[in-house]
Amino acid sequence: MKSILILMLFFIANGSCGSYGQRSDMAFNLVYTAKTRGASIEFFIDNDSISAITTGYGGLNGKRALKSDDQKKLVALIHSVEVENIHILSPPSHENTLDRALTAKVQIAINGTKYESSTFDHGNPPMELKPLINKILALIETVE
Amino acid sequence: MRKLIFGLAMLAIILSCEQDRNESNLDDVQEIQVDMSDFTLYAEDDDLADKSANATDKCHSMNNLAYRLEKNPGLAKKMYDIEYNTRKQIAAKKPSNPGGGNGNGGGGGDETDPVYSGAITIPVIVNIIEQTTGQVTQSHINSQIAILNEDYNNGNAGTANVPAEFADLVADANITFTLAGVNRKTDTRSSWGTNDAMKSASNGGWDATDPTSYLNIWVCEIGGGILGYAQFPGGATATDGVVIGTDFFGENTAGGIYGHGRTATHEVGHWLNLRHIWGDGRCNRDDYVADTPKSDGANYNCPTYPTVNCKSNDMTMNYMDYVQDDCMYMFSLGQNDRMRALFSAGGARESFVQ
Repeated sequence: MKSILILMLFFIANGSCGSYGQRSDMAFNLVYTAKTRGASIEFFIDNDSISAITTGYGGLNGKRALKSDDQKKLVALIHSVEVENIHILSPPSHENTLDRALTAKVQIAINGTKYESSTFDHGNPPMELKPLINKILALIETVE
Repeated sequence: MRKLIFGLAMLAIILSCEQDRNESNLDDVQEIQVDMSDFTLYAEDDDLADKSANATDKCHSMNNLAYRLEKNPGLAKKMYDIEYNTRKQIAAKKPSNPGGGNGNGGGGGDETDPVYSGAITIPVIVNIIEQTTGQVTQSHINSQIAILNEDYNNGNAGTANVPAEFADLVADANITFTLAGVNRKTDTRSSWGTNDAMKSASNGGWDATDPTSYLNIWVCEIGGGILGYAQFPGGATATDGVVIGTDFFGENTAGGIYGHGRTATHEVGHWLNLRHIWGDGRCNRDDYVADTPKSDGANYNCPTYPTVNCKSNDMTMNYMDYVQDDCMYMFSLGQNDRMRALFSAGGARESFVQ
């Protein structure tokens, strides 16, 4: 009985480690854009780097390397999103219809396949995307 | 208990929706049909709902409003009523203009157009919150009023550049803005945001001056890349009006290509019930104006003609697109009808012409 338990633990541990390793190797690319009349934001993140180009929005511009910890966190967050359905997510607010917010969307590319979200107010993404978007915006703040 | 009350409220709304449809059926017999099936406060949700195989929902837009009521009781119904009234008037309008914005396919036999046709004068109160005394000059104020008058009286010189395709659709809205008063205070805040804090004296801003008689324009540092924002008719009286970023108010060198006063033209368009020209959705979403082509997104900067989206040329030069100031120079006849419907008997802005 003991040996069966040890065997099970071995397979579970082995399986989960294998799966984690596979995710870390995933090739991804994130493009976050937000626009309104007079202002635009474009954030780009891939496995190696993070960059920002903005106009009319506080001058966030630059590029830097993506730390491995952040890369792993992003991979985990991407896996927590049902990417096939991000184009039909309902936004929690509609401030952009009256120019109160920039209109945002995120594009997630995984191993070359692109998925684009429905649009939402910059700063208030659909609940399903919130952890990923918050991470992207937090990382961008570190670009100079 | 709250859930029960809310559930009953939703049921009442949905039932009233059916009732509205029945009432509009009665209208068929008596006068004009008003189709509200595509109306929604927020276009994008309906796009998404359609994708969820809900396109045949007979009362989808009202269900959507019912959903919104939870957050803002009363607002959705008010906006629905304003939209119904607008469509009813436009549907009954005599087809006197080429492409005259008859968005509901009807035609009235009445001798008098139901859409208000007289000259409209709108007194303006400018509520300034500036970082330093005199930052917003009298010249900024005067030029802003002059630009509004140009644009709402077909006096924008740029209109000469309207392509032939749209030339017959250019409207003279015949709306005059007059400066009725200026409130001014200083505050060093660099970002007031978009939560209407500037519209409240208790938050350091200015309370609105009688929005039933005045258009209130707040001028302050908004921040966050926002040039200006507005509120549709039917919203809270205390916050009724438009907000314009300091650099984008009037003829203003600090605003660069957005410094020629057309942020106010665009925002006042919202205040007069105009939606963005692309309908804030995809190709299947409309701005509820028949003579503006459908599009699936905003245009920016200064597009060259033609810009094709949704299998037609975008009216990029329309004040309700997102192009830079010098590249917007027309309202359409259909938009004019929509704005003017607000001033008819029972309309949300009728008090301005009483």
